[in-house]
Amino acid sequence: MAWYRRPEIRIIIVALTTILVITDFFIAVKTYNDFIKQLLVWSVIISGFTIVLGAVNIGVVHGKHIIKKTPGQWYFSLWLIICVIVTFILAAGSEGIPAMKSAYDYLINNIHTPLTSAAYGLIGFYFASCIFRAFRGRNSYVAVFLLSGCLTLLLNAPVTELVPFIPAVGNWVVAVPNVAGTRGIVIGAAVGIIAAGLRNILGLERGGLLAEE
Amino acid sequence: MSDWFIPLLGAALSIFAFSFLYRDNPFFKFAEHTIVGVAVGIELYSGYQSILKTGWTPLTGGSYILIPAMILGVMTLGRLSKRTIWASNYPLCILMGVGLGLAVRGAVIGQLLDQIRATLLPMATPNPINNLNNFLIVVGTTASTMYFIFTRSHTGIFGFLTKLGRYFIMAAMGATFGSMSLTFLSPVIGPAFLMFREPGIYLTAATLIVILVDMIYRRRKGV
Amino acid sequence: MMALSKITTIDRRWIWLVVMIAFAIPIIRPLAIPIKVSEDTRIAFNAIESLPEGSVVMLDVEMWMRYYSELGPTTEAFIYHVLKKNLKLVIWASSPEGAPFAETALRAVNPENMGKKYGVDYVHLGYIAGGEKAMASLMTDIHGTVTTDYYGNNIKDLKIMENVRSSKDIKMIACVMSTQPDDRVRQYSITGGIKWIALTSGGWVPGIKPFVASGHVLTTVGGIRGGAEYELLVGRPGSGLISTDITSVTLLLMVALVIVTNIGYFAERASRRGKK
Repeated sequence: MAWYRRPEIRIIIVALTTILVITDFFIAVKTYNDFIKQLLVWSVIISGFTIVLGAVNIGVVHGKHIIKKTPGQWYFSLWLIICVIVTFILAAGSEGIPAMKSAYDYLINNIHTPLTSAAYGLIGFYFASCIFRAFRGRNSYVAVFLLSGCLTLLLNAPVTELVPFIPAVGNWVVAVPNVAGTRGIVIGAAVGIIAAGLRNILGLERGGLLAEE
Repeated sequence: MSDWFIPLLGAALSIFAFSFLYRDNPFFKFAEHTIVGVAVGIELYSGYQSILKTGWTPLTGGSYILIPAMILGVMTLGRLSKRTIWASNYPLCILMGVGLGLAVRGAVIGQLLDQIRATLLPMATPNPINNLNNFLIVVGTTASTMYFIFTRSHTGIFGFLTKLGRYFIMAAMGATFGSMSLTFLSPVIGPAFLMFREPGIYLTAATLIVILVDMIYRRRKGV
Repeated sequence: MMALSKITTIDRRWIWLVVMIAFAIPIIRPLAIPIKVSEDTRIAFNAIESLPEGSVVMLDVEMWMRYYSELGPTTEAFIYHVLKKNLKLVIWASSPEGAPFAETALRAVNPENMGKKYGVDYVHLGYIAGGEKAMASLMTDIHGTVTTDYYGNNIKDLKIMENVRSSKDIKMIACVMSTQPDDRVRQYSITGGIKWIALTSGGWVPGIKPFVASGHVLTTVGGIRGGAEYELLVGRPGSGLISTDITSVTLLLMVALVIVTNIGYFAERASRRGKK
């Protein structure tokens, strides 16, 4: 295997950058702190390219459908690519050309927003039918879950202000048992993050990006 | 014209998306691909703008120290081909390391120490309700943290405490479920205003009639 | 009992129709249910009220246009409040759609109508990629992280950015978000040393509460209800208040669904036991 494909180099890069960033918190040496500031700026720049990567990848996937003329799909993929190009041109042009700015605003507010809201709103409908199918008090744990859930639901509905004890009980549920339970999860997650950090620093993590090719 | 055209367009597009609730159809596919296309276009432009303002503009303004960052960024695009995927691993490893470093240094204080500190609550104040609430928070936090210890079997007193912790976790999950309901339903509000106010309400009524006719037709055909 | 147990077998499309009707009723016939301002929203309002004139407030927008009905009113009311108090507003987006989201809110508020000038009283830095890395970078060196704003202007030419270089120059941060708060707690609260206000989707309020209790997050202004309360406090009634009717009806429907399904479930169990 070529040296530049070896996982050891990647493991060292991850371990080194993790240690450098962690120690920046404890070291107050200007040169070192400025170096880490620069590293953060570098990672912001690289992150911008990953956003572009994701967008280009969608284009590649749908481009393949167009080239292969996948039945029942290729014309939708063509429409998708057209939308990508038109949106990008309008967005880029909106910086300097008022007409393109109006067109871009029109696209976002009158086409994209209702479409995307309705599509994501579908989740709400499936959620409602999921409540109907699955949220049954099979045991005491589910009963606590449902009671806590219903009280929090009612807390968010302004009409329940008419019944004095509902907001009080709802607020209590959010402020006491919810805080206790969530804090346990947050502490557990923190220990998990620290463990993951240690595993990467010690080179024990071998999955995903750090796996053998 | 925009008085009626824009709301009508919005209602029509909302109906296209909601039509999936009845059954999959070309209108929904059109809506789906439009959403993805526009979203990807926005993402592409946002990514391009981010690179421009954080990388290219300062670089052309004299910050030559950003050259390696731009090169690493371009290497990220190597992920698109199997032959060049190795090149994308280096910048992604840097992102992973920096992200992990930031997470670890903040997690120790913000998510671990400060959360433990916030759990150390007084239980002998003049207000008995405060005392009870603080007691429940202390016991609940301890018990729910214990639930995540898997190196010991959950039996005996330890088992009782982890069971108690599970109840607190279920209460927390329930509170999240209750609040999430609103988050899942709230995107419908905008389209609902378009569909149930004039002129969209006429289009909605016409769509419901079409759906009813289709249901009767399909039932008759035995589909 | 048998009839009750049949409830559990209803086709889910009927449930969806009922949900759709629940959305339609308050729109066709507004209910005008009054709302009471909660303590959490009042804390956020008072925090902005107590800032001296000229203080810099940063608004981090991690949003998508699909959530504009939920958090658009909150964002508009907050921007209006900050500008009305003669504070300086620096907006940046931590998600790609956050930039147009913030721009839509800005246009709805129309700061120029309030006598405010872009580049002097407020600025929109646009989207900065990187998530937590962008937050960390902005807390340490804003001018090193980003050189132009959303509209392509060099930030060195903008008067508002002259003295805004890092977290030391920022008095308050507000985050329009619909995600867990861990990364912001780490970067804004711990590294930046700033308590921040979560203008959050209703679903994340319980998850942020432990951080409010530990003092990292100042308060939460949650969902449509929080937005409507903020609109009431700043005296700018808008779509948030109108939408609270819908939330009342739909949330009551969700509770009704839970009750009905459990009645059906227990009836089914009883009839199965009866058969045995």
